[in-house]
Amino acid sequence: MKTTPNHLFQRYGIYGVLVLLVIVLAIVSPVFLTGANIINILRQVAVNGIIAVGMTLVIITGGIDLSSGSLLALSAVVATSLAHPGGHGAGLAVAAGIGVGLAMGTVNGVLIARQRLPPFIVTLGMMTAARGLALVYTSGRPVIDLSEGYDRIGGGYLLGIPVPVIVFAGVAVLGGALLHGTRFGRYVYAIGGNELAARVSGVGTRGILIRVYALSGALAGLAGIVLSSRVMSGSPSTGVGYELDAIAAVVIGGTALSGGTGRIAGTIAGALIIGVMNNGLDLLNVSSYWQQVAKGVIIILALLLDKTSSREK
Amino acid sequence: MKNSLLYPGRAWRWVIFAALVLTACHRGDRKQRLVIGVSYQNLQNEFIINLQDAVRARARALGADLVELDAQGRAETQIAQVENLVAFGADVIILSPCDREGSAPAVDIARREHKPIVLVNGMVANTAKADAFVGSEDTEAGRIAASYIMELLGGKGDIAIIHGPNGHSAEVLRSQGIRDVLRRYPSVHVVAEQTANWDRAQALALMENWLAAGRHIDAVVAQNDEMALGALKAIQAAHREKDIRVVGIDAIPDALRAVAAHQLAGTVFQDARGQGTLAVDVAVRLARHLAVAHDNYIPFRLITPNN
Amino acid sequence: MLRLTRISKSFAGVRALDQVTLEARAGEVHALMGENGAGKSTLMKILSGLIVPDEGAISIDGEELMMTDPRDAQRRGIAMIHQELSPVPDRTVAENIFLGKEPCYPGTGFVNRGAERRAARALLERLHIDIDVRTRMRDLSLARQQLVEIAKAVSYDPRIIIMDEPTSALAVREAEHLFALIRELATRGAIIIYISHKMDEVFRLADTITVLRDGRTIDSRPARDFTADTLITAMVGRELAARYPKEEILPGRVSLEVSGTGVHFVAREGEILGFAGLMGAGRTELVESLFGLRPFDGGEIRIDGARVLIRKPVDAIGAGMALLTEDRKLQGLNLKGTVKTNTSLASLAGYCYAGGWLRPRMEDQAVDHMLQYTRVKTTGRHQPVSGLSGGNQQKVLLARWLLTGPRILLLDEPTRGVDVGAKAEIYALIGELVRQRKTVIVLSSELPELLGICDRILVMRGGRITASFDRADFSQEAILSAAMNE
Repeated sequence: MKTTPNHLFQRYGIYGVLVLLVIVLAIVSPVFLTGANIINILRQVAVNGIIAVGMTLVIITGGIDLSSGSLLALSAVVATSLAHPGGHGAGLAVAAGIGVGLAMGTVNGVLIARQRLPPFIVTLGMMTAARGLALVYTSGRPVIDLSEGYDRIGGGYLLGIPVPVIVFAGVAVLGGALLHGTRFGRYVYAIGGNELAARVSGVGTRGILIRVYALSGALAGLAGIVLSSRVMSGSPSTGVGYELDAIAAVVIGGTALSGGTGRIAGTIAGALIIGVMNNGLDLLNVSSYWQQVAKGVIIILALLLDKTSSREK
Repeated sequence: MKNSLLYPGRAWRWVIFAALVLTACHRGDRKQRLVIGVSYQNLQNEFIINLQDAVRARARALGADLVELDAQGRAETQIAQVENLVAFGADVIILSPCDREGSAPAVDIARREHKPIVLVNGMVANTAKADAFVGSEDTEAGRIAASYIMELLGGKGDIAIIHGPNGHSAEVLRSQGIRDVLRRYPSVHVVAEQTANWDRAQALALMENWLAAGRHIDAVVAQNDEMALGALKAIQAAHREKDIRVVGIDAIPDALRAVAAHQLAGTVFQDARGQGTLAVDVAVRLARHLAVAHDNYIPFRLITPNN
Repeated sequence: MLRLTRISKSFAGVRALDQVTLEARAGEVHALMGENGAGKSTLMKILSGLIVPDEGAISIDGEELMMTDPRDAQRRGIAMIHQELSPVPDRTVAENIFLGKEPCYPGTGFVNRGAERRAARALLERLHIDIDVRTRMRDLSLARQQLVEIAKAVSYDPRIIIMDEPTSALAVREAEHLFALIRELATRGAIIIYISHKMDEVFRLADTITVLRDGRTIDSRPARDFTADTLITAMVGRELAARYPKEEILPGRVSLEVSGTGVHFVAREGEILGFAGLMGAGRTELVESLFGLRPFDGGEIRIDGARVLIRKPVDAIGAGMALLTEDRKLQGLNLKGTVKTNTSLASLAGYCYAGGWLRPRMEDQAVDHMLQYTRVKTTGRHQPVSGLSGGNQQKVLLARWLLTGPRILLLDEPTRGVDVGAKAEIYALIGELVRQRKTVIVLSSELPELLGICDRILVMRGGRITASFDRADFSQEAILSAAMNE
């Protein structure tokens, strides 16, 4: 068939881009492919990657979640405020951070699924409101003076692998299993492909949508814990624009913003492309002005790829 | 799409603002109290919050009423806020500008309406037209930080600079101050330079990448403390705290603690309390038609483990 | 005189058209017949400039045309009315008709809205279409949108008008209007190329019929030289035993009882119950209410004598019902999914471990078995469902519902937009279902279809059931008059 090479490119193109990027950087920078640097990249990708997994599910349903960055900040300040030395220990802090993301994500989901409000507007509202709550909660000042236990989430190692990387890998594997191996995941695709048809076929579309947004919120919360423990402070102004990085990772990974298609593996590749690019440009000490240009160009190239693929169908 | 939808809150901010002004005016009718209008550049910035605390404390002490607005870092918002402060009858205006160029028209507006205006913390392109300036010179902060590092390194070595957001006025001026100093040391090399947008997490990732690149670095000059602390975190994780010294600017509490613990080599104290207090003093004098100096500098102070 | 000579076109080495020849003269309605995939669409895309042929020539009145762009075709007076409409729903009728060629004030880019409205009104009057040109498109019924679409095509004053299944969305009365319009256009000297699956229409309208099969011209003759049977034979290449195979099965006990305002009826096991009516008669609304897609106010549903409460589709599925919706693309298929995910969608719970984890092998087996049973022609369960023909898509949807093990099937326009061969297969499948003592309720706008396959027909009008006919009393005239005002 005529479309086969194109088809291959569509399906594996994004991994090809990643490999190409790695090869180029390995040639121009001798330290790029060292173990330490690879660990480095993975650790830096973790936060965006965790958000992007939740975002993938949201976008496959045909929606969008603009509140991730703000929920990350809200979770960061709530979690860190419970992580003072001699306090309740890191467990409570982690539970509270994820819990607050889950709760806010559920609010998003209920408004979108039950009130039929557009996801763009609902999560835009949540983006502002959650940021405001984070500022109110902290009076605008970062939360500092955190316990040793909390430090271990972002700074610790397990079997020589940084904890954020393990958390990210766990989220990616579970997200992939959920999306590709369960009935829930199948319904997520069905809703994005044709919500009405899914409803006629007996799918509880509202419940699925609420759970998808709740999950996205919870993962933003988890990312907030990882980030705040990495820098050992909970700043209410952190995470601005992180939702856009996550959306970029999802879209670069081949998930169409119109919903119904996409894979977790693509998103991981998308997040890695962004992370590898950031790392490589820093290694090469490219001026920050040009870094912005390079990032923008890559995102647009990925979109072009996406567009060619949808035209092929 | 950068309209009020993306940045909601504009509408209800005006409602709250109007209510504040109305109550302020109402009280003014009875007691003839002075009304000071303030437009802060961004109340998500810890330094500006400290400044606000000082402004509030001083205003209370002097018996003046405040109408406070947050421009959230956007110069165009700030201009509109100053217009409205004038329209609603503030006696004097304190402006902490968002942007050197963008906030300049606000000063023109105040002049046109014959309202005294005091700039605090930052300059604008037409600073001379304002009635007074209270603040510190950001170039000086850069100079102090760089000189201190030169002292530590004995005037030679490889340094890295972590910048604030490209084009931000404090970034521009602090960079200039740092460069002024470094120019005098030919055996100092700037081996890496990059923005981390005042953000701790970004500075952390940046420093990790520099360390991974294997670049030789003796010291890091970060243009604020958040970024200095991020860089420090990466250096500690790599167990390089013995070879790489880090200096920041602003003296936020977290940084002061790190200095006291001998982790951060130093930071430059910018006196928010002093700036806020003096700004209110100057504003009140202007409102009462008393003479004031145009430029009122609050000096920066270097904080090291030894003081 | 339009002449297509020895047109060939291949896609990726597969021959879609092979030396096709077609001649049509001014003033004639020329029907183009063939099963889906026979090459009709490709040929018409070539004629309207969307595709450039590999070889062959197109000429009008002896003048050869080179067309590489739809605008070339438009300039040459060729207009195409697509099967799927593309109106701009929030603009008025007048604006839609003149979309892209708005009359402007001279020298400015500003649209002369008055002139636009007047021209639109004049056009509709000429075509005897009674629609207010200021109405927004979205407020018109599908049928009336179709009429506007035709008016839009006619506004170019075309010499050749291609119509692809123009009546698929129309009920009897609207279709009549359309036929009159087509006759009128032909009388004025236009050539109408008419693509349809509906035999009766074709025999009523067409002067000449050309049959394509597998990309070749099989036959081209005056319509009166064909009979329904010879035409089907030409299209399918084999004799179909009968268009509507009907096996005598004695309906058993009552399985479904429905009573609501104006609608009281029962359906039995092993029975095919038809619902006839004009568009907007409330048939689709009725089955959607039964299925929990809209509230069934004051209505009561009993299955096997026991009252069931249906609030949402999952309740209906649980009660043993299945609903094949009217609009395949809107309410049926996930066009971004594969054959497999579409087939298993309604019955996924059956192939899951606790906790919702899928059992892939079990799912694949069930899907493959059902695809075979419903005779879906596909390259495999991983094929995107969008790549299937309309008939096979419909069979995928039937497969989806059969996997839920339903006892009562509600089929809304089960053969709409489906070619003759697939239709026969769907009828055979329905026959098989009633043999298994299932209850089948069929809604159709094609009266011959209902007459052919049903045991009983109920007629609806204005949301009420107005008449009931047993098979022995079926009469097209009586049913039509019950469907329209008595």
